[in-house]
Amino acid sequence: MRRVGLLLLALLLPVAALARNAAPDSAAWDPADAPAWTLRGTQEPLDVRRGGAPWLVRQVAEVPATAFRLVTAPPVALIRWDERSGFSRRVAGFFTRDVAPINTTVAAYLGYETGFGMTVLGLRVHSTDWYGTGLDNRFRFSYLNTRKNIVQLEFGAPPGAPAWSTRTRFQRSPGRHYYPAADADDDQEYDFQLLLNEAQLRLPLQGPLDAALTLHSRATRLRPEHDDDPDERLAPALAERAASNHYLGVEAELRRDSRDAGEMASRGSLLRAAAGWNAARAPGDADYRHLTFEYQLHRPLFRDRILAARVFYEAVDPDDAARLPFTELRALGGRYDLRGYPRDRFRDLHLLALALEYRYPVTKMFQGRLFADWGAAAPRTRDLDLAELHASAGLGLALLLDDDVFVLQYARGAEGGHVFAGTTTPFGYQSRRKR
Amino acid sequence: MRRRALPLLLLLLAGCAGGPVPPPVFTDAPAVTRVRDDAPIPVPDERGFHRLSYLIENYGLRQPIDVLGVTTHGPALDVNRLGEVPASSWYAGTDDRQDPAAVARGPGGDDPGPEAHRPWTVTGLKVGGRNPGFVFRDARGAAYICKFDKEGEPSVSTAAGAVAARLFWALGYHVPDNRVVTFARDELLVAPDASVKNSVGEARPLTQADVDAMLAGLPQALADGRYRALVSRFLDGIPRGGFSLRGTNGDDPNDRIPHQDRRSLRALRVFGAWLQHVDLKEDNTLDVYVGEPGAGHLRHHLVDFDGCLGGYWAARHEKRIGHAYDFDWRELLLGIPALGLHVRPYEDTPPPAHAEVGQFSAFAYDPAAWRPNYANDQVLACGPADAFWAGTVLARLSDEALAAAASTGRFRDPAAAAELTRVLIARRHLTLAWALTRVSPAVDLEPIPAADGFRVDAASACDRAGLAVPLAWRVEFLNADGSVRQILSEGAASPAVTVPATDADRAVVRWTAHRPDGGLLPPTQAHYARGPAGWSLRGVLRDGE
Repeated sequence: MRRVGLLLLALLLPVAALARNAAPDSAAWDPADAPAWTLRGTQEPLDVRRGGAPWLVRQVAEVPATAFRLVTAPPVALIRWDERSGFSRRVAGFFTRDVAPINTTVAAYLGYETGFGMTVLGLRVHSTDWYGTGLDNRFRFSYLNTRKNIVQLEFGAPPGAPAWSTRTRFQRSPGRHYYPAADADDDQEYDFQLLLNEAQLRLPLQGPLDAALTLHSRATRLRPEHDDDPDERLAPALAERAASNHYLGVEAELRRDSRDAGEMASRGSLLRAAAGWNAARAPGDADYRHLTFEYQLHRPLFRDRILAARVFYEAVDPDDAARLPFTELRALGGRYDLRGYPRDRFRDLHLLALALEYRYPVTKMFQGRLFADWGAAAPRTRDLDLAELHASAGLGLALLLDDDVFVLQYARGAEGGHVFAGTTTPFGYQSRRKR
Repeated sequence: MRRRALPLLLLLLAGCAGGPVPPPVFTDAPAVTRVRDDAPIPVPDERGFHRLSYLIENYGLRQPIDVLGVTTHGPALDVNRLGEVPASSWYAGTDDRQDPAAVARGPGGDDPGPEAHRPWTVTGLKVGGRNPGFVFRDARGAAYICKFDKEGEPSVSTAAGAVAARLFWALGYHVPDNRVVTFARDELLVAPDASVKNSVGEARPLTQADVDAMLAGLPQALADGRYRALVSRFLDGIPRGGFSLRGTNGDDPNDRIPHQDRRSLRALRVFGAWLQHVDLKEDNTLDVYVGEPGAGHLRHHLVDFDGCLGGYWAARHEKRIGHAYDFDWRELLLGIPALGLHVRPYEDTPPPAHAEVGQFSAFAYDPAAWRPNYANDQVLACGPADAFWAGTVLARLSDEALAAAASTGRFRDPAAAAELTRVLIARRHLTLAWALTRVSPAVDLEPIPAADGFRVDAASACDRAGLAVPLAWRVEFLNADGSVRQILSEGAASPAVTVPATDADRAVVRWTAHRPDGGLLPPTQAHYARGPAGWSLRGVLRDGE
């Protein structure tokens, strides 16, 4: 009997072992066989047991979030397709994008400015080390809605000293304003066209000192805009005319600043002086000498709050002031100086502009700004009375990109307010002449 | 008007109405310890990371949802009846990973790494850019990618890449074998078929001169002329790209649980805060197809840890790291009118205590307010129960284990490893103090037979973690409809209770902890069932799950 029992046990043990191997692992869960919630081991799915008003508020607030999701779904899907296909890499991107194989950055941009126009399209192509030659080339096209159109081509030498560069620029600016009297409402519009050819030799001197020799020729054309009303009296300065001239200038810059946010600095100072001689080629126009002086100071106040100050002085000294076209006068107002006034609001032989700007951190890449500008234009330097300067004040928000600063700002002067949006500010790196 | 308003008012009142909620009923199946999500699938196509659309969604949608506080994520779905995360292709668990010796070895185990198998043969080179690097095979054929430190930040990124990878591995995640190495120029060969793209995008054969030029552009070599680097071993299998941090990947039939509903991924909100893993996004994850094509499955990894600890700061030097999203609506909307007069706490962050550790400290570290660079779904979805689970996992890592991890940074100055260990311990303490008090931290809820009913020798997870958080406990015995049947304990310093005899076969006990300041922590609920062997724990729910 015992033998039979042992025999049966011997026969059953392998079967039991096989059965044990065949049995499913009771502690394992197969997602293919069961709904996700069954992993939790409850008889029913768990509800979100958050009660009361907050739950209701969440449900209501979910509606705009869902709406946003629905609205953004098509563009997001398009972008995904676009990135997958590489289409955007061949055409353009928002802000900047490297485009192979010419090691090029393409930037598409938008801008807006009251009293100046709206940019509806902008394209900038910047190629460094063009096909391995080291050449630094830029192409820029911008179309500002009925206000200003620019096509510019610029070549730069491979890095080294001295550095040379050339540029050709065609600019068409219809609807520019001429303010013949003190009353801003008397302004008249004209069409201005410019063809500029420039060559520049830049000599890095000792340390932070930089000097540049500039030669350019310029052809301009001015045409007043009026609605053929015989009763309309145009200012004499607005007679239709064409002119051309040659300019030879030298510029020196002493810079000890951080230049850490695009074309902006957070600390340090900059001193720039330029002088030149302009030879008129149009009969009847006067030759003139030209002088600019600029000083910028950026001083940290506390914890990344920055106070920036700027003093800018510019003068032209013509052989005969009466024969100097008004387009050669120095202009004040707009995004570069005296931001509470429209562009070119004040014109004269001598100009003084002051700016004080407080910058504070908002969040990564964003900086808030409060600023005040003062300025005046006068026939003589001694007429620039500090007590009689035009004043404006405003606020803004700056987006600090790797290579640029995009600023949205509002300024208000005695004659109204103006909104500016774009990459240029009074504290930009480029000299005023280049602007 | 009144007729229209009345139904709306009733609807609102109905939405606000409260009352006892019947607790869910658990089945008798055992707690799942392993998820079989490794069924054979075809090899999926490689996925791309669409950065622009990712950022639009992140900045435009996820962040406003976060600012409005309207996140409506439900309970995690990848957990078993005890609220634990079973092992799966997403999460390996912490078994045998948390003792100091294991942490020091990391995912590479006993493999001595490429330094024991020289020379290295360079097969690819990264030209230009901010982060030079190269790909190589060691003498036995194992492939690695090699990266270097940032200019002026010696050891910071390379150490972070090795230390953080080990710690994430110890916390249960699938990660690559990262380690700090040194090498000399003459230990690098160039593969005959290696190629490199030049500045105009044309491929050409890689030369020794290219390697020399790359090394010459590095910020610093060691005093003996050798180079210090972080190497990351290529994962075994076929890389398929990162996994989405929302929804499921349609190309993986095993992927059934939306990723934002995975506790293992939600917990990265807690672990990320501790280790300053601010750069967690889709392209810092990697799905790898393991097994023979057609017979394998996807395993899901976290990769790229050199931005952890002080690594991201080494590249950006921004004090807001860990305190604000990359594009932060909240800071933007509040910061503009503040005119800079409001000083945020992190603005006073002192300089790094040690140059090799970088800006990684406990200063102004608030895990509740911690923000990674991107408002990913799994970060927003991390609820109290998820944070608590993460806290219990983190609490198991000893100080010695943290010191062992820090030692793998191979700092030039031994004081740097000590400083890093000190910061890891300090941040872990703050992280636990937050995570373990997101819910009533009752643990050890197994029933112990008693003469009359059963006893639960529950403990506070805060006490277990060595946190001085005095709590007053209220323990309730619930009826089947969720109403309170009997208060078992009120105001006690310990959550341990005795559950009286009951005729029912099931019992539900609820622990609620009161903080000294009067604050009430969300309850923890334990479900018990009586079987032939007596009472047993059937399930645990936290935070009203």
